[in-house]
Formats: sequence, C-alpha cells, structure tokens
Amino acid sequence: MSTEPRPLPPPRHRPLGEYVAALLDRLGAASPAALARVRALVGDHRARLRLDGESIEVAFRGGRLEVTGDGAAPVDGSGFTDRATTLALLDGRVEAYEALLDGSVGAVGTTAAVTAMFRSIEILLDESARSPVLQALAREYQLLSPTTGAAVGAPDARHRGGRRLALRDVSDAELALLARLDLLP
Amino acid sequence: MIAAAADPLRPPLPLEAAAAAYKDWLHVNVFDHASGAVGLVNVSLHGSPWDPASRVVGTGLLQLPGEEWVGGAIVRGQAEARVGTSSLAVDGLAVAVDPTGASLAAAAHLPGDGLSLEVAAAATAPRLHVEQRLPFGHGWISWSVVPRLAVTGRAVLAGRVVDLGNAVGYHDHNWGRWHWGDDVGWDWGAFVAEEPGPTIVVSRATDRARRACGPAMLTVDVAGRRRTFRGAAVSLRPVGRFAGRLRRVPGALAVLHQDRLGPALPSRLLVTAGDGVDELTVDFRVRAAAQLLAADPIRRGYGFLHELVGEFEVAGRLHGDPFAARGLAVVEHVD
Repeated sequence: MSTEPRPLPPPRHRPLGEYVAALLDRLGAASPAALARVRALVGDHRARLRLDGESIEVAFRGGRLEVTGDGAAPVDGSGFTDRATTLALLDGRVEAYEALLDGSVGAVGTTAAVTAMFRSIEILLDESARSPVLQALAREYQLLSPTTGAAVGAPDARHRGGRRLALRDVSDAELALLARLDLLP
Repeated sequence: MIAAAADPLRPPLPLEAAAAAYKDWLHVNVFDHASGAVGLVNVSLHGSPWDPASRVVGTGLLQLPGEEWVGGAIVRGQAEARVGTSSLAVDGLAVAVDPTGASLAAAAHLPGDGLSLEVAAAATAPRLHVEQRLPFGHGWISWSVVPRLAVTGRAVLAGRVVDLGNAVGYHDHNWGRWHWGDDVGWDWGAFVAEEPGPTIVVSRATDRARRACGPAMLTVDVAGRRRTFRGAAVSLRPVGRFAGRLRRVPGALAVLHQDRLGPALPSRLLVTAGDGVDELTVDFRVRAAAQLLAADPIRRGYGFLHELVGEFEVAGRLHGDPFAARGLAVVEHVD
C-alpha cells in the first residue's frame, strides 16, 4: 500500500530540473522499490535531458539524484522532446512510436544508457497509475504554461490526431528488416 | 409509465476482506440517429474507499461518422470523487441516477479535449437487475441495466453543436470485486434502433483469451415487452479485423502499453439468438474504436476496455411476429 504523507504544494511552473527531481522524489515516496529499480537501471550513467529550450544533466551520486545545468563534458545518453509532444502523449493524441518515428521524441547514446532512460520512464508511468501525487504532478505540468504560469487552453493543433508518420534516416534495408519482423506500425 | 427501481452504489463494508478489489461504475451511452453520433459517459470507482491509493476514473467520448473521437479520460484519487447514493462525479464528468431509477443525468466537460456534453434521460424500458454475484475471475460482478431512455441535451465539439434532443440512451451500473490484470474479460453490446425500434443488449463474461466464455444473455426490448435468450441460445461471432486508428486513453497508460497498439478487434460482429420459438440475427459493423486502459490501483495490473461503435441491422421473429430494424450500437470487448 502506497502512502501520501504530506500535503502537495500549490501548482506552479517548475524548471525542468525541478520537475525531474520532483518526479523521482514522489516516485520514491509512492514506491521506494520502484525508485530503487530506477537507481539500479541508471547506475553510474550520466544523461542530458532537453525539453524545448531547457537542458539539464542528471545522474545518481551516492544514491541521490544530482541535477546540474548543461555542461561540456560528455554524457552517456541524451533524451529530448518538447512540451507539445509531451502534452499530446499524456492526452493520448499521439502514440509513443509516432513521436519516436517522426523525431518529436529522441534518445541518443549507448545501448545501456538509452535502455535505462526508457525503462525508467516505464517505471514512472507504471507507478503513476497507483500514485495520486505523481498524477498530480503530471496534471500540474499539463495545466501550467512554461513561461507565465498561467493555464493553457486547447492543445497544440499539430498533435490533433491523424498524424502522418515520417520514417526518417531509415535505410531501405532497415525498413525491409522491420517489415520482415512485423515491427512496422 | 415505467416502473422504477432503486439502484444504489454498492460500496464495501469497512471490514470486508475483498474491499481492495471494489469496483463500482455508472455508465451511459447516447445514440443520436439523426447525426449518427455515439457517445459515452462513465464514472467509476476502483479500490477500497479507505485506501488513499484508490481511484476514480471519468471518461467522456463521442464519435461522429467519419470523424475522430472527441473527449478523453481523467484519473484522480478516489477522495476527489463526489459520491452520492446513486451518483458519481469527478471534475467535469458526472453520472447521476435518480434514486427511484426513473431518470438520470450525465455530463462530460473536457475543455482540453474539446468536448462538452450534457444530457438528461428518462427510462422508457424497465430496469433489468442481475443482482446475483456472477463469478468473475477470483471475484464476482453484478449489474443492472436500463436498456432504453429518452434523451434530451446537447454536445458541443470544439464549438460545433450536436443536438441530442431526440437521442436514445442506454444506462448500466456494474459493481463487484476484481482486480484489473486478473484473467477476466467480457463482451457486451447495446444495439439501439430508432424509435420505436428495439433495444438489444447482449453480454457474457469471459477469461481474457476467450478460451472460457461464460453463458451469454441477450435481451430484446420492443413495444413494452422484453424477451430474453440465454446460454447456448445466444452466439457471438466476430468477423474480420478492425483496421482503423484506435483512440487510446488515458495517454500515459497508452504510452506504457505499446504492446496493446494493435488488438485483434473485429470489423463486424454477428449476434444470433434463437430458442425454436423466436429468433434474431444482429449484424454490427464497426466504424470506430477506442481503448480505455484501466490500471488497478492496488495490485499491479491492467485491463483494456475496447469500445467499438457503428451501425447495425437486425431481423428475426419476436413473439411470433417478424421484425427488422437498424440503428446505432456500441460493443465492448474487455480483456
């Protein structure tokens, strides 16, 4: 049984680093075991995360999340997306594979680092299903604009269903392989 | 005048051992034959009322022929639900059934999803109670149905008004004890013809893979009379495969379950019933489908509720007289 031990702060815009820290903080409060799985997955990897114009670096040091500004040192993996895509995914208006295939969501890095990033997201989504405080954070993100803190209105028209897929940078041989394995959408 | 019957929510008692598996929901479908619109409003409780992890889920969706689904789903802590004797509400979604059971109101205000729907409805067919606890996985399910209601109201889709003043409604209330992720499922359909045509409701509980299906039940309400078929007298035959785009909500669970992008949903469903006296055949063709993903709040597990909407034709013989009708329908495939 998960617990929600303290009242939530009022919703407000948060910088990207603060959102990531709040996500992991609330994940740990909802399920220490889930946070432990994320720590085990990430290990010593260092990642750069970019959302629209914000870029941060994250890593676990001594078991605690360390969030720093975008630096010059190499990282093991990078993940990027934008607010419109994030909202469209949360609203069910675009599928994850569509966002990946058209480049709205991307990840670059070693196999282990990229796997760790996406597996960590899966753990977060899975625990969110049973955690009101994680869902409240997602709701806060959906409602507040990134610059003014004011509520946003209708979602980006770019993601109103019926998206056309674009398989970029995929060779004919790769497409043939995907088709043979029945992995094409 | 339709004789009404009370149908309150069925919360667990405080010391009930199975309270964590509590499920209770109120469901309304709206069928507007003039525009072809099929809508649904559903508010449901998942988990023990005393567990902070328990949830309330509200869903409002509407689909017009040739268009994409409008609406979505929200999930909140159960403490945020407004729970009445026979009503549930969360944020802008609500289903309220009059305690006498003779009428109801439903609303789905989802401005971020471009849907605003409000209807009031009066029962035009008697309620069917299945109070008996039907075995359902390791638990049980019961339900109560008002198969036909006269609807008034309207829907606004991104500024466009759809008049629902002559629509026909369907309502059911399901309650029981199970966890999403258990080996349970069901097939259910409501086939609603234009006035004064019949309403046909079919249902059966199953396991997820449809290897062990429970006895089916089919009821036909027409001209104030009800006819029921059960067990081997009812058959459901899926045909083809739905190839359209699936609307999946809530989005976060859809991202998590990329393995459920392409479920094997039929493009057509044939339902037959006959007992040597009366008979009927329903031919339902799917025009759109949505997937509602349900997460159990207590035990890790997920259920997938597929809403298939479209048009149907029915023909057969009832009470000794031949009949035929057509209309709008929703079929639900849950696994």
